[in-house]
Parts: sequence; C-alpha cells; structure tokens
Amino acid sequence: MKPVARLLGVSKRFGRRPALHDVTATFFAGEIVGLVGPNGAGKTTALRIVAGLVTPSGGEVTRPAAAGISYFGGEHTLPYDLSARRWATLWQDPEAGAVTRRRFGVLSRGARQRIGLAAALASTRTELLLLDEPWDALDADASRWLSGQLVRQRAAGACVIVSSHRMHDLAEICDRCAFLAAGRIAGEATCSSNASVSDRVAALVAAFDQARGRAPGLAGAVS
Amino acid sequence: MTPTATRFMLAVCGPSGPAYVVAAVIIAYAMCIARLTPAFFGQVLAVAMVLQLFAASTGYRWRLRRGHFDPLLVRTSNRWHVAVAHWLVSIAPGAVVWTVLTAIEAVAIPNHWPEAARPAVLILFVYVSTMTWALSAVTGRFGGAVAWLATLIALNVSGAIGWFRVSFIGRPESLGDTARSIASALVVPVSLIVDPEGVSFTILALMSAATAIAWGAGAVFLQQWDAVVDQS
Repeated sequence: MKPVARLLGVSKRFGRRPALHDVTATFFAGEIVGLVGPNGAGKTTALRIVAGLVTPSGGEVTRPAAAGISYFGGEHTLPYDLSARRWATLWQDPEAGAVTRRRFGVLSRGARQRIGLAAALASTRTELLLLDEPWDALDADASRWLSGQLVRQRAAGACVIVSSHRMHDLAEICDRCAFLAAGRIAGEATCSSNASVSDRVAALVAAFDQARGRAPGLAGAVS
Repeated sequence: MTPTATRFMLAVCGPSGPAYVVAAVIIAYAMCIARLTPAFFGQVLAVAMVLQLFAASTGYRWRLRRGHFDPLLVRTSNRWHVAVAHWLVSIAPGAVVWTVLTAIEAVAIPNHWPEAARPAVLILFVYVSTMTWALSAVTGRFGGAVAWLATLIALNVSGAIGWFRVSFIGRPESLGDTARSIASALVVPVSLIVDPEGVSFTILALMSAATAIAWGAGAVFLQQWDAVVDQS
C-alpha cells in the first residue's frame, strides 16, 4: 500500500503544556484509521498537524499536496453567521440545492454537522480525508450515511483518518485504530475485515483494554 | 472543487446585511449634500472614511481560532494568497462605496476634479483601510477601528488634536516640523481631507510606505499563526 501521510517523532507543545510527544505513524492509501483517546489526549492536535493547520514543535510530517487534503473539525468550526446553502454551494456539494438557506447559527448541531461533513466529502480529488469526531451529534440515519460515505472514500483510494469516542462506529468501518493517551500512542489494533461487526467491536475493546492497562490515561475514552 | 481564496473569504468575511444598509445611507446622504450644498462634499468623504475604519476591520485571528478558515487553509499551500484575499475582501466594500461617492461628486460638481479621486485622498483611503485591516487582524473584529477611534477621541479630549492639525497645515521649516507633520498625517489622517493644503509629496510617500509596511506586517501575521482552535 502507498503511504499517504507520515508522522515521524512529532511533538507539539502549547506554551509549557505538551500536547503530543514523539508520535510516529504512517497512513496508507485505501485505509480508514481510527484515533481513540480521552479528551485532551491529542487527537485533534494530531489531526490538525497532519492537515497542515498546526505546525509541530518537533519531528517531521509528510502529507500530500494541499489540494488533495480535506478536513472537517466539527460543526463548532463552521461560521455560524453564514447561510448553510451558501456554504454548501461554495464547496460544490451536489446536494447544495436541497440545503436550507438559514444561517448555521439557527440550525441544530446535527444539521450543522451533516452539512459540514457533506461539504468536506464533496471533493472528488481527496487523497487524505481527516475528520474530527464526525459522528458527534448525528442521528442513526446520518451516522449510517456517514459510514457509507467513508467506506466509499476508501474504495476510491483515499486515506481516511477519523477521531472518535464511538467504538461501535469505528469497529464497523476502520481497518485499524490507534489509541492516544496523554499525547502518546499507547497502542494499536487491526480490525479484521472478515469478522462480524460484533466480533470487531469485541476485538477493538479488548485491544483498548490492553492499551488502557499500559496507559491509565485512556480510561473513559470511549462509549 | 476548492473555491478560490477570494471567493471563500467573500462568503465568510464579506459584508453583512447592516453593512449594506449603512452603505445605502451614506450614498443617500452624499446625494443630498451634492444637491443642496456641494461645497461641503468633503464632509461626506470624512464620514465615509470613518465608516471605512469599521468596514475594513474584519478581523482574522478570532475566525482562525474558531476554525472558520480550516477548509481553505488545509487546501491552500500559499498563505500569501489567503492574505491578499482577506485584505481585498476587507477593503472592497468601502472601495465600492467610495467609487459611487466619486461618481456622485463628479456629476454634482461639473468641471471639477472630484475630491474623492485626488491622489492624496486615494492614498489616504488605502492607508486607513490597510492600517485598520492589519490592526484588527491581530486584535479582533472592529479592533483596529475602535483602537484608532479611541486614540482620536483621547487626542480630542486632551486638546492634542488641535496641535496635530496645526502641525499638519503649518509650513514645515525644520526636520522637527516635518516629523510632526508626518506624525499628524499618520495618526489623524482625516486632515488630508479637511486641510488638503498640508499635503506634501514627502507625506504621501511616507503614507504609501506605511501602508506597505502595515500590509506586510498583517500578511506575515496571517502566515505565522497556527490554526489552533479555541476549545473553550
């Protein structure tokens, strides 16, 4: 498999507070990777470093050309004063015509999340898709839609990296998961594509428990 | 497809509904003055200049910290383009209104080169717009305008604004006079409209240089800042 992005000994400090410490990881084309960890573990920072939005304090980052990267940081990063349709049209979302003209600020969190995700997924040239807690605020239908979209992106050859607390959603579509605790990778698990979803969830939870034994900071990271 | 930086900035930082209302009011005011007392058209320009302080103060960092620019920054390898687009979108609405005011003045006062289109006034317009854009990029929306207006009010209250005005219109006879005249033009630039006789080539050249420095500083800030989203 062709490597799409690579972190080599990457660390990041915000002032005196360390957010990531010596993280090394490689991400390949045609795979979905889950990032699991409690709040403050460094998931968002890691994604934003891979996206090129945040400069690491140390280490090396390799990523595709900017035009091939797509990132969505969650509904709270959308400009609430903007019309949802204008946003969807801006990103040439094929379903923009069906999107409400109302401002993001007056929509529900779920509606904002769905529209933001659709815009991030609209590009046909994505090599690296980075989504921060994408299932957050989505209902069951929208969650299924999102999982389907991510699987389609993988089939098209994109590398998809998602951070989430939702083990079931991750187990359903991920090829592997990395567990982050206190800015370090505490463990990793591969999800067998032949196993049933319930077996995959069980395997992922077992791997997570094992990592938690090594890194107590992981406690409470998942649902 | 990724939108161009300018199209993205226009959607996210473009003029709001109230801005269109204010623009319509100032144009209506200009039409009234041009019809009734065209000799006082300079007042309209002074008011428009003050409003441009606010129009150009779109702010950058507060949106950056909320993640509003994420989709653009991720797909843009050259952040100079982002800086140019943000500056253009910040000053363009005021520039459009200024152009309309120039046209009104040209029609209302025939056989007279419009005040709004004098090179000194155009340099002033770009200087004021760029300075407030750069200041508000750092401080937040309207930050540049509020800071500048607060300075002018403080100068007025302390009586120092009169000193600035005298420094501006007086014939500079020494290096100190020239420095005071330049300081006056940079801090109270509306003097260029109210007291056009104080304008010299040196002042215009220095204002142009100050504009370029302000733009460069603003653009460098825009490039250097990490897009760290405020989680609070």
